[in-house]
Amino acid sequence: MSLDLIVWLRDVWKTYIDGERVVVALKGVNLSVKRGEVVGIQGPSGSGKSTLLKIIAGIERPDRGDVIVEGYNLNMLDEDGLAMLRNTVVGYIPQDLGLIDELTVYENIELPLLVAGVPRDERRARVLSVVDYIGLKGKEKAKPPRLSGGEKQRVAIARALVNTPTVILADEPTANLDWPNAMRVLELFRKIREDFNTTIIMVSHDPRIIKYADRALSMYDGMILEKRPNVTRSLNELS
Amino acid sequence: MAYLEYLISGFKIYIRGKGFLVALASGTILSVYTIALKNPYVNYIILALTFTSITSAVLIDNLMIKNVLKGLEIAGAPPSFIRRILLCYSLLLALTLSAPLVVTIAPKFKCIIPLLTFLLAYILVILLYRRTGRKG
Repeated sequence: MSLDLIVWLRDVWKTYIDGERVVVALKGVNLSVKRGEVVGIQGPSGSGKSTLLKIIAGIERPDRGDVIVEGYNLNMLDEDGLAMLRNTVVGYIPQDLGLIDELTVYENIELPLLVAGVPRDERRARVLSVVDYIGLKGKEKAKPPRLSGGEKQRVAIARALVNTPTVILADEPTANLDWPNAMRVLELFRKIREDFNTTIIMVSHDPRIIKYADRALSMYDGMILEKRPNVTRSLNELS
Repeated sequence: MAYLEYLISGFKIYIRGKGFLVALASGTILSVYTIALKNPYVNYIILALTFTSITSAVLIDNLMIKNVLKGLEIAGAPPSFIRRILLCYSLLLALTLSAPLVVTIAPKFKCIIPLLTFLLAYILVILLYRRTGRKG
C-alpha cells in the first residue's frame, strides 16, 4: 500500500439482519483514497453509502475484508483503538449531524478535545479558532435547536475539524439544505482541503454534490460500480 | 482526563435534563410521607417508591442520554470515558432523590437509599448505553 493512500478498503462485506431478512449492505467493496483528495460517492438510498462511511469511521465493523485508515488496520483495533481513531484521525459527520441539543455550539465543538484530554486554555483557543474559521463567530453560546440547517451543518463540520483529522467523512452533507446553503457547505469542504490538506469523503444521493469532488464514484446495491473521470469545477463555473 | 472533568461533564448532562427535577420532587414528596405516616412499614414502602422514582427520572432523560451517547461516540470517546460520565450523572441523580429522604427516613435506611438508588440509576443508564451502541 502506498504511503500516499489514506483510506484503503479491500473486498469489504457487510450484512445486517432485519427481522428474518438478511440485508447485504456491502458486497466486496474495494476503494483507495489518496491524501488530500475530495471523493464524492453518489448513489440511491439503501445502496450502502452510509454503511461504507461508518465502516471507515470505525463505527461499524465489516464482516469480511480489510479496512486501513492512515496506516491503522481497523480489524486489529479494539473499541478503545477505534475510539482513538475517531478522535484523532477521522472526523465523522453523520446524516443527522449527531449534535447534542442540550449543549451549546461551543461545548459541542469542544467535545473531541475534552475526550482527547486537551487542557482547558488550549481547548478554548482551538474552539474559538475553528468557530471563526467556519464563520460562526458570535454563535458560540447558541444551542443547536436555535440554529438554521446550514449553521448546524457548520457546527458538525467544526466538531469534525477541531482535532485536525486526516480524513473527514460526511454523510449526506447537503441533505436538509437548500442549494445556496449546500453550495456554501461544499465550498467549505474544498477550503478545508486546501488549508489543511484533509482528505474528504462525502456520500450523497444528490448527484450535484459530486461535481465538487476531485473523484466521483457511484454506489449501487452495495457495490462501487462506476468511476468517472475528474469532474472538479470551480464554483463560478457551476453557478 | 482528570476526574473533575468527568464530574463537570456528568453535571452538565444532569442539570440540562429534566430527570433531576423528577428526582428532586419525588424525594421531597417521599420525605413528607415519612414524616406524615408514622407506621414503621412506611419506610419499606418509601424504599419501593424510590425505585420507581429513580426509574422515572432516568427514563425522562432517555432521549437526551441517547443523544449524548451518540455525540460522545462520534467525538471518539472510549467506552471507559462514557461509563465514567454516566456514573457521575447517576450519582448526582441518586443524591438529588435521596437528599431530602435521608433527613426524615428511619436511621437504618439512611445509607441504603442513596446506595440503592445510585445502583439502580447506573444500571439503567448502562443498559441504555448497551442498547444504543454495541459497547458498554
